[in-house]
Amino acid sequence: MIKLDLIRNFSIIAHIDHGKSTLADRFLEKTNSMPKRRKIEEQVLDQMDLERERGITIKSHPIRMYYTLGEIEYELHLIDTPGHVDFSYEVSRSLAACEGAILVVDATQGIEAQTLANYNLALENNLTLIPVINKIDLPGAEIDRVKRQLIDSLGFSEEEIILVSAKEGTGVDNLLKSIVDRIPHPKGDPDRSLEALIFDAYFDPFRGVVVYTRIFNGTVKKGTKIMMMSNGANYEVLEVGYFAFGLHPTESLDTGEVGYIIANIKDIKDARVGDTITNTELPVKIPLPGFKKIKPMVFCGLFPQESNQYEELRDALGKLQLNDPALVFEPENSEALGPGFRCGFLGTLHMEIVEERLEREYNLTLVATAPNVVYRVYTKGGDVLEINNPSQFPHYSEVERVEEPYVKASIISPSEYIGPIMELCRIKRGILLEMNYIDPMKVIFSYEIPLSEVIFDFFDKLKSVTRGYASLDYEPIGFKESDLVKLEVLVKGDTIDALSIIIHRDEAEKRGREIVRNLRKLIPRQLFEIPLQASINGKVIARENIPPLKKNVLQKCYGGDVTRKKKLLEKQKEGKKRLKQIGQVEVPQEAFLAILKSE
Amino acid sequence: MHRYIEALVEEIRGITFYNSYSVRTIYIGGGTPSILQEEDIDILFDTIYKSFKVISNPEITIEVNPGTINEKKLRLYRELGINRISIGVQSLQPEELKFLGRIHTSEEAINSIELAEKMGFDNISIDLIYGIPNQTVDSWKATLKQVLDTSIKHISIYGLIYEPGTPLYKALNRGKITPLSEDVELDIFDTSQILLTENGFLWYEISNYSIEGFECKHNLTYWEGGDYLGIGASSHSLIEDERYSNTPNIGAYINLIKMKQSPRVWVQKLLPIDRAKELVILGLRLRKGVLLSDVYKKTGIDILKLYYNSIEKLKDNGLLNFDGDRISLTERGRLLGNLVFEEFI
Repeated sequence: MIKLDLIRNFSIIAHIDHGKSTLADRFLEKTNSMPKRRKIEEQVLDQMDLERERGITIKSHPIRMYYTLGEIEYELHLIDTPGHVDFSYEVSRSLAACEGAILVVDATQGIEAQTLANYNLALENNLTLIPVINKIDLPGAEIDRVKRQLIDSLGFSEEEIILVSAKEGTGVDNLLKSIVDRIPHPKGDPDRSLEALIFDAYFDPFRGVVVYTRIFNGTVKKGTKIMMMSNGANYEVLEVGYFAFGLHPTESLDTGEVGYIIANIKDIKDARVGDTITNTELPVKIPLPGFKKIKPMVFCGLFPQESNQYEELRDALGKLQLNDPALVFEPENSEALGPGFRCGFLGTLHMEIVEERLEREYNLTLVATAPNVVYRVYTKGGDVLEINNPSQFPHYSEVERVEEPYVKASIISPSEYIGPIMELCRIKRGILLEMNYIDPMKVIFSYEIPLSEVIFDFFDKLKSVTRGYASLDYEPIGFKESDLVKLEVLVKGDTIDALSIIIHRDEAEKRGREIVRNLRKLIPRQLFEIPLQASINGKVIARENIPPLKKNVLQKCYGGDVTRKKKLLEKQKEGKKRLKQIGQVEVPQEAFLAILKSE
Repeated sequence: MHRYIEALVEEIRGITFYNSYSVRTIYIGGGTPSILQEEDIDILFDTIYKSFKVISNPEITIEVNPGTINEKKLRLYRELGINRISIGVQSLQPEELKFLGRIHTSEEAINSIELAEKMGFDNISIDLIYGIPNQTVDSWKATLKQVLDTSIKHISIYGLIYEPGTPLYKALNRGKITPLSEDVELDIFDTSQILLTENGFLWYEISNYSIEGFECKHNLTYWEGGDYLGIGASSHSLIEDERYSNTPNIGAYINLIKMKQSPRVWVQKLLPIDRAKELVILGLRLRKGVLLSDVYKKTGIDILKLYYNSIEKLKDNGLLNFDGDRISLTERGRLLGNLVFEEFI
């Protein structure tokens, strides 16, 4: 039986690319936790292909290490957390499973937006922080400057800061020792009722859901009857264990430990991140704090390019959902794009990952509409509607007011880009809350910005106006009223559902013009004239005409031409198959996507 | 004798399988056959007459370019039985000829027509191109009036197209050429209709006009789905529901013939349904259109049953005439033929 004071539970938090995974790998090596035959070619904790390619962590990866200091062997649990704002709730739950965290800052970059966001999350969870300056081996390292940032902006003392080169291993022994010395051991009572926090889970097709958990009080072992507190679901535990490159079954998971529970759970929705597991008999009264039902923030329509792939898409989404309870979807039938699904995601990265996995792992070719947020519409009749699809937006005559989700965005950038950043945020309807200098060269902005603006192309634009130097993090702060209207596009008099967007009134006219101009280029001429209109609240704000097709005929067709000309006609016909018939007009699929891009 | 002519002669001599056919028309074309030496063309015809059964009064056409013919050649053509001349005039405007990369002048073009006429050809056809950048209705009228003053009986009029891979296409893509506006092009087309009709020329195929009785019998064979045999590099044939073509590479063609091998590089057997669709698509190019009963007789395919919806739709859109048996393009359909053809692909 391991005594509580020999356990340390900690996380590594950092801005992207500041060396979190390399440091984790170094810990594994130093504690001999790495499987012998494995080559350390890549960061071993990032397992999914996509994670490796994108250099980010999507799932939590807890791992147990045994570390001997002096004569004593300690049990260290490193919980590697996701590294993206979309998954900040998962990060906060992973941090809630720890007593401490290592805050890694790149010596060449200094504090960035996610450094700060993670720092704040750690403080909210009362974690003991160990500040680490990494990459001190690099020629561009500015150790003193970054030290000053950590001292001045985050309130660390100079003595706390540990200098490390994860790449070369410098300072890692010192850091491991500090983990044991500085991070408090877990507290709790093994004799009380079970209180275990779920901080992640995945679905294994053979064993059911594998729940990642941290035991705060009590013990769990094979045969323990457990209850999920958020929904009262009961299960009997089949296996418990810890993680170290795979699952290692143990007799029991005890107070203070991090490990897994397998209990024949078929539906991952019964293992919600943040939920508390307790005993079925003698359950605790109050769950651990911080549980939230995660709600999708960003929606888009996903349609199979070929409508016969609809069933396949449904099955694939279902399979992904087994492992990704944050993904929601419901059937959507678009006049323009046919049958498909309206899908909800935590954010745009989550959306991109799902799309990519559908295409890669399930071989689907998809048409994705532009993402949108959830709008809250107050009708004159006193109803409150949550709209995740512009086509559901009520008629303007019924709309009393509209609210949209806002985020608090933190932007950190070299101070020379203050002007362009402020201009960008102004265009994106941002409200400046404050601006502070981290040091004379580096500035942090805090903005309130509509989420819809942030998910569109904000980050790309921010990167481009700051030559890639700015970093961004944001957190939702709830709904706020906005002067939003539905911009409708009419093709030959018919409103096209897939072309409608919800937009701020001030932007509507400009976007309306852009859209009809783009459409004019994308819709091929047809037998009749096609008027294109953009309208808000029944008023036309932009108009273009596609003149009728007057001439399209193969001029020469003699004996030697027949086969070649037939091929040309076949090609022409094939091209038309990709057109969607809307009313009388044939519209290419690109039109539905290209209109959603801004100029 | 030129090596290529030798090969042609060999190919014709080697064809025995189709000896039961009667040859109704002969067309010497593709490239500029008028540059051939007299003795070459002489031996070619000698071989044809010896190898095939040719009907009496066949239509025999040769394609010539202005500036490549003279009295002596034309006299020989007459002697060999050639009775139709197709002259690649293209335009009579110097700047348009230059744009098209033609080496002849407008004077040479007119002279060629007059020379052919003088040498006893009464069935002269010319080609013209419209839609050339900077062309105007007036410049087009000038060209057309001038050729209509000669004794020509047949005109092929093609709109300029920018075909991928050609220098013109590249120039267009690089923005070096501003294509003629579609409106002017359509005005030119309308002008042609009026002027040609006034002068007794009727359109009988999408791009072809003639005095009645001077339609090109050879080309009608293609559009009416008749069998034809092609000789030479890159030539195409349709014999008994089989399409095939010879190698387009002249060197390869000559070598294959020399080695007593078949120059055919592509063969396609047409199923009745393919034949039926071709009969419709090609037949619709003609003003008289296609008799569906005729297609049924030839292929056993009931087009109406297969394409009833398409036919109705095209009729509703004003592109197709349909009287219960015959389908044909309307005036509008003639300009939008591809929208009609593709329905039958």
